[in-house]
Amino acid sequence: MTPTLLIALASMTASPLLWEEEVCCSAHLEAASWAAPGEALGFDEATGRLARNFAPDRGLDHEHMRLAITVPDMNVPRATCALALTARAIAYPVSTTTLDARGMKITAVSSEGRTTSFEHDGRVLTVHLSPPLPPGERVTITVAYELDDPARGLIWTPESDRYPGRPAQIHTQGQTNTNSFWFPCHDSPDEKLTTEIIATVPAGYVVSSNGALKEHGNATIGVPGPLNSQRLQAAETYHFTQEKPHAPYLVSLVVGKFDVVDVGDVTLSMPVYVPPGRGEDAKKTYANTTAMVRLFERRFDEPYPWAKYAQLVVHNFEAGGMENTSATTMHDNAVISDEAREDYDLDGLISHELGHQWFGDLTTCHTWDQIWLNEGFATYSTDLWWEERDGVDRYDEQVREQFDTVLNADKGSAPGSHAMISKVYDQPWENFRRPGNPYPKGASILHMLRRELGDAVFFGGIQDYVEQRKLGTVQTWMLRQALERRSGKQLERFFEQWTLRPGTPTVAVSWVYDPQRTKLRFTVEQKQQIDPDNPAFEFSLPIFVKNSAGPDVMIEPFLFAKSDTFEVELEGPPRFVAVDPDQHVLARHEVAQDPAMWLRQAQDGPTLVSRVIAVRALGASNESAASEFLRRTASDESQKKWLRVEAVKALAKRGNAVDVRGLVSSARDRWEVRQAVTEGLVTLANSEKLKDDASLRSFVSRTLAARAASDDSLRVRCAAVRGIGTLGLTEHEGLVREAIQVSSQSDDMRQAGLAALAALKTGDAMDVMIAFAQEGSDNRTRGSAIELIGRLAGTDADAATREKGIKALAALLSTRSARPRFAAADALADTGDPSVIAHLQAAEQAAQAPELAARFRQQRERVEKKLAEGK
Amino acid sequence: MPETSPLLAAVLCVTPVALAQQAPPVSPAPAEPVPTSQPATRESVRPRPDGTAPRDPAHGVDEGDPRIDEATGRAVQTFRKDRVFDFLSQRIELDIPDMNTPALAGSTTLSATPIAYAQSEMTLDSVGPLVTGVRVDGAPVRFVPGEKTLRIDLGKRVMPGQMTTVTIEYTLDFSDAKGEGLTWCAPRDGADSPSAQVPMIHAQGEAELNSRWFPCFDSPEERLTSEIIVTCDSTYQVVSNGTLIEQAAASADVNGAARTRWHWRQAQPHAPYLITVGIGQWSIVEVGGDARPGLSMPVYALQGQEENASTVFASTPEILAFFEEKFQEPFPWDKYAQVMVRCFAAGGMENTSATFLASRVGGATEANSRDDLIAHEMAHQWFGDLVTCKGWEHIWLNEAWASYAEALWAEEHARRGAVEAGKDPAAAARAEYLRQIGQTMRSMTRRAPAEAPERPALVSRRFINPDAVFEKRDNPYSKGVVVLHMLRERMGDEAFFRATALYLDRHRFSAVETEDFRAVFEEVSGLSLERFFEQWAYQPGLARVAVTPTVSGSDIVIKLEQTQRIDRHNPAYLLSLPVVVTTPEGTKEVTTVTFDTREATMTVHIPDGATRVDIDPAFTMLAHVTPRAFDPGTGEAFAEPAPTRERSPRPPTPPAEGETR
Repeated sequence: MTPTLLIALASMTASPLLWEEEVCCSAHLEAASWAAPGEALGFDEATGRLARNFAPDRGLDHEHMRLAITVPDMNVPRATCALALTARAIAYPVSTTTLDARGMKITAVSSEGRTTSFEHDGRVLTVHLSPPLPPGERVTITVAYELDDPARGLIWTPESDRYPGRPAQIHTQGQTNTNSFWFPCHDSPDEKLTTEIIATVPAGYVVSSNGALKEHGNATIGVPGPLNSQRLQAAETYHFTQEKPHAPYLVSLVVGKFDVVDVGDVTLSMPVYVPPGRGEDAKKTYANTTAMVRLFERRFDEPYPWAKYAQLVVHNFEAGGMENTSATTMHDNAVISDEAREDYDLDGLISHELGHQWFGDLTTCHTWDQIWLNEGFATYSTDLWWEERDGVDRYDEQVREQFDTVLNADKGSAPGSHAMISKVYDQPWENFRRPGNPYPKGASILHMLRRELGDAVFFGGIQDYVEQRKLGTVQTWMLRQALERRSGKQLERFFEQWTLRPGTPTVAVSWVYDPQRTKLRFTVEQKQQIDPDNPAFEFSLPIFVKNSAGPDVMIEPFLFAKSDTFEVELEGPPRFVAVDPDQHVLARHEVAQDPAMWLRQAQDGPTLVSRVIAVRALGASNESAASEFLRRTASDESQKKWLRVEAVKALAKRGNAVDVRGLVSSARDRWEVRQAVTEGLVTLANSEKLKDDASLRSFVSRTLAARAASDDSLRVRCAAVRGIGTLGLTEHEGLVREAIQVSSQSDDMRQAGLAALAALKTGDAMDVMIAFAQEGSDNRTRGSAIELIGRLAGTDADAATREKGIKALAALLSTRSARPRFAAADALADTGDPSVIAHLQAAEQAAQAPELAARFRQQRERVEKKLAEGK
Repeated sequence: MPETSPLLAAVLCVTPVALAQQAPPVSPAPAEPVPTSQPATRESVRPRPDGTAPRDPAHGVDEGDPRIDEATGRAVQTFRKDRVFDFLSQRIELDIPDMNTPALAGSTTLSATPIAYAQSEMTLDSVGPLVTGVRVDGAPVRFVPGEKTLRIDLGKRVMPGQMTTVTIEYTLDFSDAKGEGLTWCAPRDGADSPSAQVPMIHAQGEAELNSRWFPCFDSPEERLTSEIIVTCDSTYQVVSNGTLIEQAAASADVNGAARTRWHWRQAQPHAPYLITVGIGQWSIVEVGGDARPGLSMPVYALQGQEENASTVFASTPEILAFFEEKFQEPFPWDKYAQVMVRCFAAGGMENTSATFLASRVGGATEANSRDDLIAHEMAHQWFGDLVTCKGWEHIWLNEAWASYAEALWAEEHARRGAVEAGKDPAAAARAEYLRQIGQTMRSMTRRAPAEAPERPALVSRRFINPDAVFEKRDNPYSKGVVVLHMLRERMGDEAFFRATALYLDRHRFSAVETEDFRAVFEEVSGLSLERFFEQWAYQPGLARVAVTPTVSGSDIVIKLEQTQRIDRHNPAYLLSLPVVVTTPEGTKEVTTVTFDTREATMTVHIPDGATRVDIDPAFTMLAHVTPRAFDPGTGEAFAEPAPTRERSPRPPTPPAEGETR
C-alpha cells in the first residue's frame, strides 16, 4: 500500500506547510523572537500554533556534487556555473524534487535518461523527473546557471581605489544557509555529500577550496570584446575534490592573490593564505597549528580527517573564522605582525576553527538548534589547547571566563526564555546568539561532564562518540548515549537541565558551627526562579572546608531542592569554606563568609580558582587587612598572572588608590598586569568616591599619557588611550589624535583613538567618525566608527550633529561590505530617533534575502519598541 | 568521579540531614559517588498529611500542575539508575523443602565487572530476601541489608574490566506476595483440574519485581545470561527461561519425599525482569510443528485441559513463522513455552522463551479465539525481550509493538481466510486491520484525553512506581498502537517494515530509547520524524476535529476545527487529513488537508452524483473526527463510517490496558 501522503512526497518540500523553516518564520516572527511575560516562546494564542523548526524531509540522498564555476573578470561580480548533482532516491519514487537556489539565474536543467523540467521562483528550484526515480536508484541532475553579484554567500571584493594595491578577491560563507546563493543544494545541515569544485579564474589568481587539489592547469576564458566579438583571455583552472562527505554549508571557494606558507609537516599540508607580503608573519602566527592538530588527534583519538588544512585570511569577513572543511577562512586581521607578537595571540581562533574540523565538519549538528555540538566543542577545543600549551591554570581561567559569561547572560526561565537548545527561532543564526549561548555554555557543559566523569571516561566517551558518528550528523542524545555507555551513568537529568532548560542556578551557601556537637551545619538554597516549568536543579556541589583543628574536609552533597541542609563533623570552627573550588557546577554562588575568611581563602585556597574567587570577594569588601595582601600579590612576580590581575582589579574596585598608584612602578613585568593597572587607574579616577580627587586625577593623567606614548605593549597603549577618553582628559587630545593616525595590529590603536575622541566629544568628532566609517578603513575600524556615530547621534546630541550622523548611517546601509552595513543598522537603532524607521524600512525592502531583511526589521522593531516605551 | 580533581584525597563522610534516606556507607566511603548515585527521585513525592500515599504522577491529577513537588521544588520524575557494574551472568538456586509452604532457601551468584570506575562496594536491589551470607570470589565479606537494597563490601578494589563473582545466600518467605515477585498459589480442593489441587509457584518480574525473590541489579537496561536451579518435590515440574540442561534426583525433602533438581539456562543475555520460574503440575502439550519446524513450543496446560490447549494454541507456530518473516529476524530463543499459571495477576507475561498466561486462557475452547493474547506475548519475544526498553518511560517500545502485532496477525489471518474463501485477500486483510485500529481509536476517544501538564505523555519520566506507567492515560498500549499505525500509514508498508527489521537488527540484545527507534525510521525513510514524535509521543492526548461542511454549488467548503484543549502546554497538532470523495463510479478522489493551527478551511470539488465524503477513513491521524463521513449532496453526517466487513465471529478484544503484558 502506498499511503496518499506519500504519493506526493517529492512535492512535499515545496508545500509551505511541511517546510518547517518557512512556516515558522514569516508569520510568527514576534512569537518566535520574544515572549511577553507569562507567555511561551513560539506559541501563538490566536492560532494555537507552536512555531518550531524541524529538519526537512528528504526524498533524495545527495551523494556528490560537481560544480564548475568560471569567473571571467575578478572585478565584475559575475560567474557562469554548471552543477552536476548525483542523488539517490531514499525510500520513495521521486518525480519532483526541490533544491534551494537563491537569487541565481537558472538557464537549463537536465538529467540523463529522464525528461526533465523545472521551475525557479528565485528561492527554490523545483525539478520534475519523468519517469520518476525509483527508490535506491541514482540520478545526476545538471543545472546551468549564472551568478550576478549574489546577495549573500559569495562575498566579492573587487579592486578599489579606496584600498590601493589590494587585489580583487572572492570568498564564500555558507553557514548557516547561504551557500544556496551560489550553488543549488539542499541547504540544510542534515545532508552530507562529497564535492568537487572546478574553478576557472583569470591567470594569476589563486583558488582554494575543500579537499585535495586534483588538477591545476592553464585555460582560456572567452570574454566579450569590441563589437560583439569574443576574445580569449589567459586563465587557470583549479580542480579540488573533497572525497569524504560533508555538509553543504561547509563548501568553500576562495579566489585571490596571496602569500602562501605551509606550516604543516610531512604528514599533512597546512597552507596559510595571507595578503601578499605577510607570509613571514603568517608563519609565526600559525606556528602552533601542527601541535594543535597532534593534540586534538590524541584527545579525540581520531586522525585529522581531511586531505589538508588550509587557513585563509580574507577580506570583508563577517565573523571571526569559518571552519569550512579543510579550508578555514579567517578575518582580515588574523595575522600578527612582529610588533604585536608579545601581546597578541591567535591561538584561540586557530584552535577553535581547527577543533571544528572534527566537531562540526566530521560530525555535524543535524539541525541548527543542536549547534552547541559544533560550537561548544570548538570552544572547548581552545580550552584544551590552553591546557596543553600553558598548563592547567590557564584552562581553569578559561573555564571561569566561560562560566562567568554564561552566568551573567543566562538568567531567564521557562517558558519565556530560550534554552540553549530550542527549536523556536525565526532565523537559524539566532541559535548562535542566545543568552544560553552555545559557545560558552556548550564548553561549560563539556567541562562539567569532564569533572563529573573524570578525564579517562570523559575523553573515552568523546572518542566513542566521534568514532560512532563520524561523517554523520549528530543530535545531543547521541553524545549522551556515548558518554552513558562509557561511564554507566545516566546523564538524562544532566542534559535536560543544562541544555533543554533556560537559566542557571544561584546557590546560596551558609553555615553554622556548633562547638558542642563539633558539627558544621550547612544550608544550601537555590535562589533562582523555581516553579513547575523551572524545577530545582539537581547536582553534586563540592564544598571544601579548611579545618582549624584537623584535616581538611571535602564534601560533595547532592542537592535537589530549594533548600537542603546537611552536617559535617568538624573538630573546630572552619578557617574558611570554599564552594566548588574545582568548578564542577555552572552556578552563581552567594557565600555567607566574612572578609577575614575570604582573606584566608585568598591566601590559602585549595585551588587557584578558589583563590581568585576569594580575591574577587575581597574586592567587594573593605576589610583593611586585605589591601596589603592584594598589593603584595599584584606585584609578586612569582604569583600566577591571573591572580595578580584579579588582585589589581580588586584593589581598584575597593578604591585603594594608594595601592594601585604604587603598582604603577612595582608591577611592570607583564603586560597583562600593566594593562590591569592602567585600567584600574581609570576605574579609580572615575569612581564616585574619588572622581574629585585632583591629585589622583593628575597622577592618572600623567600615567596614562606616558603609557599611551611609550608602553612596550600595544594593548597597554590602547588601554591608556581609551582611558584618556573615558576620563575626559582633554589635555591629551593630541595623543588621541595621534593614535587615530597610527596603523597597528588589527588597527586597534586607531579604534582606541576613535573611541577616545568620541568620548571627548570634540567638535569634529562626528566628522572624524564619518570619515573612518567609509570604505578605505579597516573593516572592523569601520564597524567601530559606525557604532560611535550612533552613539554621538544619540538623544543628547544637538540636532545638526544628530542629523549628520543619521544621514551618514543611512548612506552606509547600502555599503558593499556586510559588517559595516549591519553595524549601520544597529547604530541607527541606537540613536532611538524616529526618523531612522523609514531608513531601516527602506533597507528591509531593498534586502535581497530574508535573513538580511530580518536584520533590518529587528533593528526597526527595536526602535519602535524603544519609542513606544518612551511614550 | 573526577580523577583529575586535586581534592579527592580529602573526601570524607557527610552526615546528610535532608538526605537521611540514604543508608550510611558500609566502610569508609570509597570514591564511589555515594550521594549522587542514589536515584532518590522516588522519595520526592511525600505522603499526604493524612498519611496516605499520593497518586503516582504517572496517573496525573485532574487539576493543577503536578510537575514538581511543591515543598522541595524538585521535578517529580524517575531517571534510570546509574550502572556501576556490568553484570554478565546470574545463577539463582532455589531449594524448596516443602511445596506446601511458601518459603525457600536461595543462593545467587553474579559475575560482574565495574564499567568505568574502580569499585570496592556493590549495591543490589533486594526487597524481601533475608541475606545470611555474602562471598566475593569465595571469601566472606561484610554486607548491609537496606529496606530495598543490599550493599556489599567487596573487601577489595575491583578495577574496570576485572571480573568479580558475588555469591549471596538467603532465605525467602514469600507467603505475602501476590502477583509481585514469587507467588505461591494455594491448592483448591475440589478444583476441576488436578493441577489446581496442588500448590503452584510462579514468578512475575515486570516491572522491577524480581528483586523480591533474588537480589539483582533490577533495571531493564541491564542484560545478562541466567540460570535457574530449583530443587523441589519430584511430583512437580519446573519451567524457566532457555534450555533445561539437567534434571536429576536430589536429596529427599523433610517428609522423605523424593526431590528433583531442575537446571535451566538462558544462554543469551536478557533483562533481569524477564527471568522467571514456574513450579507446578502440568500436562505438557507440544504445539510446535510443520508451520515452523525446529522449535519446541510446549504448552504447560492445566491437567485435564490438554485438548483445549492443543486447540487454542494450535496457531502458535503459524503466528511465530509469520512474525519471523514480518520482522526479518529469527525467533531469538531456544524454545517457546506458554505456561498456564494459577493466581496470575495479569493476562500474560513475556518472560524470555517462557510466556506465562492466566490459566483461564488455557480453558478456552475455540481455535484462534485467543490469538490476540498469543500474538501479543509472542511479539514481545522480539519487542521487549530481544530489544528492551532502556527505562520504563520507553515501555511503549515493548507494549505498543506487542499490541500492534495483534493487529498484524489479525490482518494476516484475514488475508489467509480470504484466500481460502476465494475472496480478495488484500481487501480482506486491510479491512480487518483497519477494524482493529478503529476499535483502538474508538476506545481511546471515548475516554477523557490526557492533557498537559496535568497528565504525562506517552513517553515521560513522570512516574514513581514503574508499574503505574503501564496504566497511565496516555497509554503505552492503545496510544502506542495508534502511533505505530500512523507511522506505517505515513511511511508505507515497504519502508515501515524495512525499518522495523533494521531496528531489530541494529538493537538486538540491547536496550533502546525512543530516540533510537526514531533514528532508524528516519534513516530508512528519509522522513523527518522529530515533529511526529514530538506531538504524539512527548505531548499527551489526541486531536479532536469538528468537521463542518457547507455545500456551495458543485463545491463543498469544509471547515475543520481542532477542538481539543489548546494552550501552550497543548499546542495544536500538525494534522494531515485525507478527504476522500467517492464518485458514482466508486472511485475515490483524495485531497489532503494539512494544518497545524486550530482551524483550517478547504474547498473540495464534488463530481456529480458523488455518494459520500470520508475524512481520514484509514485513521492516518490520531484524531477523533466528527463526523467522519457525510453526504456530499446535503452535507449531512452519516452516523457511522461504512462497515468495512461483517462483524468478527469472535468477541472484540478491547486493548487490554494493564491486563496483558
